[in-house]
Amino acid sequence: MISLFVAVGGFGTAFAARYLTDPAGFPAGISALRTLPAVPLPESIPPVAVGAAAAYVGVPIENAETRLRRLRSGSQGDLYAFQAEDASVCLFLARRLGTCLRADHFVRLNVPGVFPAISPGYPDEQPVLVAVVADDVRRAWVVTASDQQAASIRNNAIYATLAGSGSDRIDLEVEYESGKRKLVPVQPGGD
Amino acid sequence: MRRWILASVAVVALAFPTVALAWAQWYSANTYFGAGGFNYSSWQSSLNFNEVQYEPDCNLLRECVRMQLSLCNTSDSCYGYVGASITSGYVQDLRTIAYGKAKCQAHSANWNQTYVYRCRTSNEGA
Repeated sequence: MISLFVAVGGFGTAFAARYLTDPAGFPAGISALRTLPAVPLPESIPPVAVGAAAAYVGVPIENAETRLRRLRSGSQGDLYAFQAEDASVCLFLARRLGTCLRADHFVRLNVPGVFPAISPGYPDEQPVLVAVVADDVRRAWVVTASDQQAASIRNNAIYATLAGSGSDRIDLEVEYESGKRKLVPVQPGGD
Repeated sequence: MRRWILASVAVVALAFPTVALAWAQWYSANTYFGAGGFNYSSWQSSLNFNEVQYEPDCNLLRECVRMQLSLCNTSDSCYGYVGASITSGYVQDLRTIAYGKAKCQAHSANWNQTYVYRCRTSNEGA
């Protein structure tokens, strides 16, 4: 009986260490946003999008534009992002979407160093999952109800084409440098 | 005299070529959206920028509220929803529709009401 408690306790501790402990996340750094070359504001990212995003995270638009970097390309166009001084992050998918994560939400919402978004695109396009990940995220998998696919990380970014409709439940499982894993909900199913 | 007036009007029209005027519409502001709740903008031409700012809110089970955006045509057919990370509080839809209305919706699975600061659309994304 005692050995059963020990076994269950041991499993619980291992599970908690693997899935529940929070890693450093975005304050640990997104090195691609410092090391990649600066790009002029592309035509595919409207100035109003960068301006509104900059206002949301509280930086001047000029500051956001000079920090903008092109991270990856894919079926729906190029993925760009910038990071503000306080570690807030905004990402933009060309002519598709923009979104931001403010630093003051990191702790309150327990943000895991992964900032994903789903772009359904236009009706004739395959939906994609894009994400910016912190330096300590080593591997990632896109998890749906029926499938789990490895997603490559390049320049601190994920750009994965999705097989489903884009409105299915989607999670991202990530593994950190420490070996810990975390399941990050990206979107619940349905509308 | 009448011919002179017509000619003058034509000269003035040629001197000021047609310019698409910028417009923007806040179609929700400082209000709560229940799960599945939505609002539309009015019908507009050249919608190419749609945004929502809301208060992210997660419970102890790590369920978080989520807002999503779309553009809809005159047949009430809408593009797939653009939605960001469940921990975000700000999303932009940068797609274009020649004529239609913008939509701002709380996800039907949201665990709580969502406080929305603004849903705003415009033609500023060109």
